Amino acid sequence: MPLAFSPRTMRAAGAKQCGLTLALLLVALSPQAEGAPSKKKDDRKWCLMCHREPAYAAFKDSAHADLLCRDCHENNQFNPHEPVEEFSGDLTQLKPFAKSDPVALAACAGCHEDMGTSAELMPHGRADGALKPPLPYCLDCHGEPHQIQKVEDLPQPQRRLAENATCTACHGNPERMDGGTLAIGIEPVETYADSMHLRKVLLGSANAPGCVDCHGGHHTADLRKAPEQACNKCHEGATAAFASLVTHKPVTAAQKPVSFWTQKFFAWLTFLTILGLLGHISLDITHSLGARRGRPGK
Amino acid sequence: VDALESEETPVAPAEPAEPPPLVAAPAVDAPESKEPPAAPVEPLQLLGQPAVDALERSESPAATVEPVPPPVATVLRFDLHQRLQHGLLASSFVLLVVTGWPLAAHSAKASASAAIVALFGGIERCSGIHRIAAIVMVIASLYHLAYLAVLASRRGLSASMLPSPGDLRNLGQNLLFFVGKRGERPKFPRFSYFEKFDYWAVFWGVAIMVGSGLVRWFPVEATGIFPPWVYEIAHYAHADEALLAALAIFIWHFYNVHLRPGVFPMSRVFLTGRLTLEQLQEEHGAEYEELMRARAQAEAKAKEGG
Repeated sequence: MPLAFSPRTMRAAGAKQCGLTLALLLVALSPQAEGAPSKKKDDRKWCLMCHREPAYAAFKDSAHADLLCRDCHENNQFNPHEPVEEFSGDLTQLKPFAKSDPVALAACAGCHEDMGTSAELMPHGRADGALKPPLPYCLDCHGEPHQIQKVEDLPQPQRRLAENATCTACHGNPERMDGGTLAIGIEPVETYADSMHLRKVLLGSANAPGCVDCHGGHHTADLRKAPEQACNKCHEGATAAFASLVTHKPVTAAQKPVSFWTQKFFAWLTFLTILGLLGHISLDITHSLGARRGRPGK
Repeated sequence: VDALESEETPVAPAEPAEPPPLVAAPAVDAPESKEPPAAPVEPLQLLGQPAVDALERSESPAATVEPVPPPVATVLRFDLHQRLQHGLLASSFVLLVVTGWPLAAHSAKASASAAIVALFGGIERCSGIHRIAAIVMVIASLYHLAYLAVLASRRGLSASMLPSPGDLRNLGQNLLFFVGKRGERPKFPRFSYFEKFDYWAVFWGVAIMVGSGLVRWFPVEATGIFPPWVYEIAHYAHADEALLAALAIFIWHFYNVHLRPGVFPMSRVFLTGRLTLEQLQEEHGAEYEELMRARAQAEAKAKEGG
């Protein structure tokens, strides 16, 4: 009889009995007793019996390829683990479990301890150390961990564009911003979209900044306190007056009157001037052509 | 600008011993009283001989040695300095418009912007070329101002480039002519109202563009000197005035100078600096008549003297 390992057949075979056997095996092959290669072999042998697709193919090429399943999936130290919930059998319906579970953050911090506690993850963290929706977890920004790539491997400006896309996924979404506890609106994204900074990024500049270059990724100071610090990374000697120009305020009569009226002035100046010049030209052309038709001999 | 005629003619003949003037002596200044009218003064041609030179040359003995086709009578409109100033200004202008476009365009993703940036080898080099072209434009402008200063010190600037009530009259007459309510084109002076418009539009435009461009080039320094709203104005004025200037030059200036019926496809005056007498009569009727009057006077004087 051919062996077919799927959750369905596993359960059908009697998970409890099987689980006992495997648990004993795990104890025997504990990490302390074995070197890394056999650990990995062990992981692949047992976890991948069920969890081969769809994540594993991309996982092999990801930045996390060297990790063991249980390095992150800390709740599942015994195989086979208790089903998280009644499973339909459809692997594509599996919930992205880590996205909704703070334990996932703990799993990340196991290796990425330099990322600090949530209180330090300004402005996304909370002073009380709690992470609550709608504030993001690691994976909300960093994406599916089985497919994660090192951002340093991307050349500029693709790296910045990827980072920008991560930020704008929430900050460019009015539903996320307007009703949320932060209520800062999508103006930062909109005004950045019309800035020299983004235009240069889109035109391939390796130096023009994205969101993260000014606002930081994990450890960022509150830019409202000393915004010129961010400017000084590129514009040496920038003052608070300099930084006041990059406010992410929309160009409206109320918010940025000087910019607003400068634009209005030039819009009308250009419109009226060109209208007059085109009028002059059309009269000239009409006359010249008419004169030619009227007096062919001339 | 050719603002060099000194209409106060009595003064001019009083300085015959002066070194050759930097710029074209006005036609009415023809110092025919000190030399026979036939004397050829070829080497100084480019630096501005009396505009009636060519007329005289056709009668010179040298021309009779070999049977060459009779030269077309021309007058010098723009001397070498003016043509150089125009050349520097025009080439830097085109370069500035093209290299500035990608960052001024609201959609940087647009294919035209990307194509221009690729043409110049990347956005950083595009910006570098923009700054070099800006320096060339500043040099052209300083050259022009120095030229005006030299003119002013030598012979006094004429008012021929300044706007005058006659321009409004000419505008009215020209519009009437266009719609058929007037039989003939108005007789324009040395600089018609639309040429004065071009000159002063560029004058204002260069001042705005250089000022706002410097502020954008050195934002840290600028915000250290001026309040931040100066940068705000410079930021928007630079792109918006650039659009206005580009439209005015590529539509209006090109039409009036090169594309209008009768001149199409291109006028060569900006290269040769010369107008035929026929062109002068047609396009600057008032100046032509003045020239003819001055010639008649000079001839009468020469006869008297001889």
